[in-house]
Amino acid sequence: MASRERVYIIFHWAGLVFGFLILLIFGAGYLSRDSGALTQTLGITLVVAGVVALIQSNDNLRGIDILGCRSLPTAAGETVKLEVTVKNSADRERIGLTIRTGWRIRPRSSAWLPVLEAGETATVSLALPTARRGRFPVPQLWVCSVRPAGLCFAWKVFPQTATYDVYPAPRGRPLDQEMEAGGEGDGDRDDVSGHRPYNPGDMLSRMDWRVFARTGELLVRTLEEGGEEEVLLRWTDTRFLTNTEARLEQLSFWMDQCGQEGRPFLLDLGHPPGLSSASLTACREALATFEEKL
Amino acid sequence: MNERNPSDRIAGWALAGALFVHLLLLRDPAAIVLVSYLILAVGAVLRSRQIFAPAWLERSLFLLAVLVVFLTRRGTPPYLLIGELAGIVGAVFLLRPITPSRGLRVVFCILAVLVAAIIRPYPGVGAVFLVLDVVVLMILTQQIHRPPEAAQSFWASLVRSLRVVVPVSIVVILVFWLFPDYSIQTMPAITGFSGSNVLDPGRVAELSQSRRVALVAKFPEAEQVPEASQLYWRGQVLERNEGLRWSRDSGRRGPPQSLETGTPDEDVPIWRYSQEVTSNRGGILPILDRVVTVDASRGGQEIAVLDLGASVLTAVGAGSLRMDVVAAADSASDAPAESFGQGSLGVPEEIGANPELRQIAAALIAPDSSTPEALRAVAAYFKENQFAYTMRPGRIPNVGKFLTTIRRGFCEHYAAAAANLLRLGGVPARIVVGYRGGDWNPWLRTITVRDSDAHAWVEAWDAPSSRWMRFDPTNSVAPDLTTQLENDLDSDTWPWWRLSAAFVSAFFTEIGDRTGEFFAVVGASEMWESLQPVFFVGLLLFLTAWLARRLILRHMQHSRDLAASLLTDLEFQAVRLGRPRLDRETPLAWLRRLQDAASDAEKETLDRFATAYTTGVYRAEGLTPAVANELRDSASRLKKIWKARRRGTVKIAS
Repeated sequence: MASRERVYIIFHWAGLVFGFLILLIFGAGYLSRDSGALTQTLGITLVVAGVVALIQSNDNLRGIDILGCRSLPTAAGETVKLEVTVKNSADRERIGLTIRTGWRIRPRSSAWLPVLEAGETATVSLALPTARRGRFPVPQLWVCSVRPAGLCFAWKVFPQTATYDVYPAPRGRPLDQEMEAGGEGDGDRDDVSGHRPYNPGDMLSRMDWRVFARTGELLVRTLEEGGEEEVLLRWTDTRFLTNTEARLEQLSFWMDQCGQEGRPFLLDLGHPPGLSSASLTACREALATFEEKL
Repeated sequence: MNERNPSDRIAGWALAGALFVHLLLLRDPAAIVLVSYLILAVGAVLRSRQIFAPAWLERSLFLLAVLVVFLTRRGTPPYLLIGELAGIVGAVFLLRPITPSRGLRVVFCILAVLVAAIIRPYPGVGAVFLVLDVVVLMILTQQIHRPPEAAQSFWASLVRSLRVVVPVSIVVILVFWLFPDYSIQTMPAITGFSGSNVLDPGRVAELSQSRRVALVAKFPEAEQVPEASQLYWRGQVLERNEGLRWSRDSGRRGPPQSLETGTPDEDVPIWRYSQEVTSNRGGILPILDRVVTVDASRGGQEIAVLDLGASVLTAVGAGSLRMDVVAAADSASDAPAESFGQGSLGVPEEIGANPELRQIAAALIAPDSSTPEALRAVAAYFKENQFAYTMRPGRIPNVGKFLTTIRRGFCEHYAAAAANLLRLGGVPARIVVGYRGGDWNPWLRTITVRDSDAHAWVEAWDAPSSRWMRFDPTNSVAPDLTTQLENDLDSDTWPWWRLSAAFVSAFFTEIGDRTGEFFAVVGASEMWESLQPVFFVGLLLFLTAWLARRLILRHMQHSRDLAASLLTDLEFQAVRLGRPRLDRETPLAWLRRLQDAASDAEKETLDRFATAYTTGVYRAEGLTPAVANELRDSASRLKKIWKARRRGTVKIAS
């Protein structure tokens, strides 16, 4: 998103001390007959130095832009890893940048970017805490810095239009105890179409241990194309729970379990539009934004 | 605990060095300053081994330093206290590893030490040092705050700092030029002791450390310039004798009077010159011995010059003066009044009762000796008895010790000793303080006299001529000084670099003067009144055009940002759709690839976006408002289409 070059600057604590020191110097110069000219010269030079620091603080943020941010759906209770892409379109490097959320003195989340070369784009991660499921707007982001002199605190504001999804925390009973009623999801009854050599990353549950015991060769069972290995995770299967959130958490748990075991699944959220998908991300988004229709 | 980054280590050493140099500026041998040096030395040893003090030790030392400074230094001026405290606190800070905030605290301590160093009566540094010092401290501060990942060479940082420092300095100088009332150049600089009523031992030595300009005398082309032996700028006359300490007997002379000048003899050389005098401590006007007439002005207004007696002049009001002077080479003729507090033959009890001194005086000056004979005898005594000239003679308790034992000193010791010997020998004598010599510029025909030219000499009364005769006993022990003065006035003997420096100085001074004169003439003319509105309107037009150009450039930049950001936004959306832009794929190539796999509606929208993007980014007409709207609209439609498609990938199971 386009951002106007509007840089805000206030004095950092060191800048306030610096200003106080300059006032003291002018005061001393006023009271001193002997060295009034010298102290005033020093004071004026320090004022110039302060102005230079102010200008440099402003320059250090010019050309900085946040191109966008994104995150994967995250379980409630965990922290969202918000990836923020920052670009320096100026012709000089920018140093000591902090990307943070909002105006708080102690921001909820911040990321440190020591240097961003001219024309370079970098991605930093902001950790946002989550408490409940839902789709939340990304908070206003600030790029700020006290560099290069440490006297001024300068910042640019980047309002965000993006959102991030928090899906229900996976909690509940394991899948196999409850899915007998589902019928379609039975991993033990996969139609084995053949074998192929083991590759790193293959699920151990797919290993054919009998062949291994017989021949010592590591082979993986391959399933028949279009087989019924998909597990159907249905909203209606969570009826043993009464609370909507608990039911969503149960579905989330089953999705996680399927993911860990490498079992494809379909998600059916019951009432229109019920959902099913092979995409874990899409299913999690569906859980995050689910609203029960009565 | 140590400093992991090399830049932090370098910053630590640089800060320690800077603090050491600034502590030297205090020029104070106080024990507390020595403690600061000691802590700095300990810190340096520890730093070289990357060992640092724990935090509790640092805090304890802070507390101890505050207690020690305020308990042991009672009666010390506050500015010195602050400097000493800042020095010791800065040194303690350096016992711990340098971080940005800690480094900044040390810089503040250094600034406090600097303030304490310059606020004293005779600071050892000038304005140029201050400005350079602040620039160096600023660059140091930036280096301290630079993250180690962004390390760069010292020269690169220097050049980058100068990019800002120089323009801002130019602005500051312009402000001073436009508002001269706030200019540091017009701030009154207090110089010298020419107006002081007292000559204390060591006063000249202290003054000689200052390079402040006391006066600048300009001699017209047609007028002769005094010889080196005549370059005595008369300040105050001191008659009250306390041995080494002399003071003015203000009760004798009465109130100041209008300057009454005596006409010099025809054979006496006359000097006509103009001089600018910086304001000094007592408002006494140092002037070539002896003044005939003076026309003084301050800011274009005539100022009355008063005579305090003995050809000592003062002006009404305070501040610097411009003067047109006519001076004569003869000396003052005011009689040595018997109504002096002590009389012009008075000596303190310790000297009058000292048989050794009486014996020396009797041997040198016979009762029937003339004044010139007496002066020659005293000069010969200094010359032949192994007296030496030095600015660091050590402690000299009294005139007796100086004449009999120590025999080392500078002008005020010799002036005091000679005046006492003359008085013991029956010759009325007094001391004159002022300046001797100065820097001659042959192109400008100016003599610049500084505080470091401060001098003291003797005047002895010559009854037959009814005049005071100038006698400089320092010449007897330091003939080199006289030779050097003569060489300074003779530009033919100068080395090339000295001639060049004088020429450059003259060149820029001349340019400054002529520019000032030009603007003064222009500013006073009637034409300027009619031209002023034209300049004003022209300046306004220029500023408006400049502002408009900046706004247009900014708008164009903003537009380019808009196209890039819309594209990036689409890229993020496409990633979610599983069709990301590939590495090294141009935006248009990526859009074409998307079109190949798109539906009709999507293809049309992609085409609209691609066309608008091409026009806005690559074509000469740029991103006009219409093209920008087209970009926004097509991007928005694309996002809607892709959102719908993303949902479409999720099967509707109902």
